[in-house]
Amino acid sequence: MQNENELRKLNIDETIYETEVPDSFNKRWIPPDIRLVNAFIPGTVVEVKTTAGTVVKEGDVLLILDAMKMYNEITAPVSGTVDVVAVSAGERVEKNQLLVRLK
Amino acid sequence: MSIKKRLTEFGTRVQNLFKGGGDVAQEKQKKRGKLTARERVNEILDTSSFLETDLFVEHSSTDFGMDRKKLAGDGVITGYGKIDNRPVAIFAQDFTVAGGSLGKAHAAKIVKVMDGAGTRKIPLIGINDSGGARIQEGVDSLYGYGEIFLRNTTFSGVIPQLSLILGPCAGGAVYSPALTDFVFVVDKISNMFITGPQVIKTVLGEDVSPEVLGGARTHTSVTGNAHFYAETEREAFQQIKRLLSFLPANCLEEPPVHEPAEPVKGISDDIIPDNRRKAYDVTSVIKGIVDNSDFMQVHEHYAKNIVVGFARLNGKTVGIVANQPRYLAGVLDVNASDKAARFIRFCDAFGISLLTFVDTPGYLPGVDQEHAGVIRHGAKLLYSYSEATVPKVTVIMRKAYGGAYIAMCSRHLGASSVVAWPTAEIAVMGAEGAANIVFRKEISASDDPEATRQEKIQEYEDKFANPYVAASKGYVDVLTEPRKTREIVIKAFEYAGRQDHGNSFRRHGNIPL
Repeated sequence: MQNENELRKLNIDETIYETEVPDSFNKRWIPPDIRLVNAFIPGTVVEVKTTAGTVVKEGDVLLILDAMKMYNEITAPVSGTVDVVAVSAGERVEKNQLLVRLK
Repeated sequence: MSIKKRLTEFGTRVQNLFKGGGDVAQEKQKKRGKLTARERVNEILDTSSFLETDLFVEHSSTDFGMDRKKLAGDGVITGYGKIDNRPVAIFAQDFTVAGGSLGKAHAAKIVKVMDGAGTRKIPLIGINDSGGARIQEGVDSLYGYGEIFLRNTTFSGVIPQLSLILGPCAGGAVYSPALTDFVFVVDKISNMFITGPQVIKTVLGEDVSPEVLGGARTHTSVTGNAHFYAETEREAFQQIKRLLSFLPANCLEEPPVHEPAEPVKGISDDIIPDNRRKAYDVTSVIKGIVDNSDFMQVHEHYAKNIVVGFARLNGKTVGIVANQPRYLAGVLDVNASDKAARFIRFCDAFGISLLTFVDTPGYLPGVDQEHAGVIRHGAKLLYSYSEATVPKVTVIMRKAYGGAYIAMCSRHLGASSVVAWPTAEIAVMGAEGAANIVFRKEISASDDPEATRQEKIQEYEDKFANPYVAASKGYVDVLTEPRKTREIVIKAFEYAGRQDHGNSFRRHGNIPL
């Protein structure tokens, strides 16, 4: 935790104020890359329904992920071509692990 | 049976029930640094004031060998007592009895004392220390939780409901405290979460301790689920007593009136810094104005850019909302709006006048804020101030810019009186930002744009960074030196009545949530 009494500069409408600013405030926002399909939860890949080079439409099922007692359909977030399939059937994946990359 | 024998039998029964889950379990509870349920009840209430009810209640479950199990009081102590000589209803889950688990009879006891609080129109204090639903009783325990949630809701705004988390409180059980007005937590004792560390580990592979996931510090500083943080159980009991001293027993009663008292140290005219970019601690202003300088913050460690809490003015309870320039320059953001809105609605429900101190540069910019729904959350602040019918007095100390000026209980949202200091700057935005927009052409066409910019900022400041433009239009009622604020505000409240929006026919509004 930062020193409670440490004052930093904060710009609001072009006026610079001296005030306490929590560390978490300084994280920069990074736009998400919509071509990356990551595991939203850890689980096991049950079935891969696509291959590299396949043309897919938004909403097409790319693979099935067994997690939270459910067979979850992982679908294409946008239309495009499958660039990389990073996992295979039976593989355990961690949260946020790359499953498929589109181009 | 002789009377003597009957009385002996009675004595033995009571003695056994008072042992809760037995000596071993009680010892274990103490080793965890926790008081027993009975100790807690007796320490919170005035000496000898407790009237226990339903001590002899038993469960009627027969599955999984439950028919052979006797559970003292079915794991919860219920009844009535007094705090500072004012009646309250209370229940305390007893962790030593089957882990304080909630079965049908346990829930029925809580429901009964809740109904008792509702009909008597007295505050309800709930002490949570429970492993959760009593699995052996199946859906009956779910029925029990539902009955409790229903009452938490129907009594909301009728009687103050206070929750103490003095042990685990997990899964669905968390929603009873969450529905109440104020939640008290104690370091290293309180734990609240929907899914615990083990489930999170199994499902997500994430390692987190109960303390970090849902301990007292987390809930008072990160989630805002709890309002008051204490180091020890006894400190939490003192907080409860102090809080109740500000509150009426129900929404029909006036808050208790105390002997008026001057602040320990009043405020001087130079209480805030000359430079409007400099921070200061707004609680020093509040303490310099209220009776005895006695100010009890609610949500002290959460969304610190706004300060809310209870104090007295001329003996009467007021709810205070103040921007805190010390933290994030006192901006409004998602959490600050939620914190203030909830507090304002509590005060309005219980007839507690609202005193607002304004010094805010506006809303916090950022993708995070926009994506977190600052529009929807910020709207709660406008809604709750506009909706409130209690007397509302606003003191504009320094910056009151743009949308944030409107939101902070301006005249336009129905303030009874708006008071401003000569240092107030009521404007559509700060001078720097405004000059860059209004004089964009002049600045860019200038041979020395920076010099022109400074000149124009000064020009804008001279013209608009003051309270006189707003006062000339009647948006500010009273201008005063800081040192006279207490006197003015007391008068303003004295002459302010409750407002009537003329819409009592409506069922309820639809506050953005």
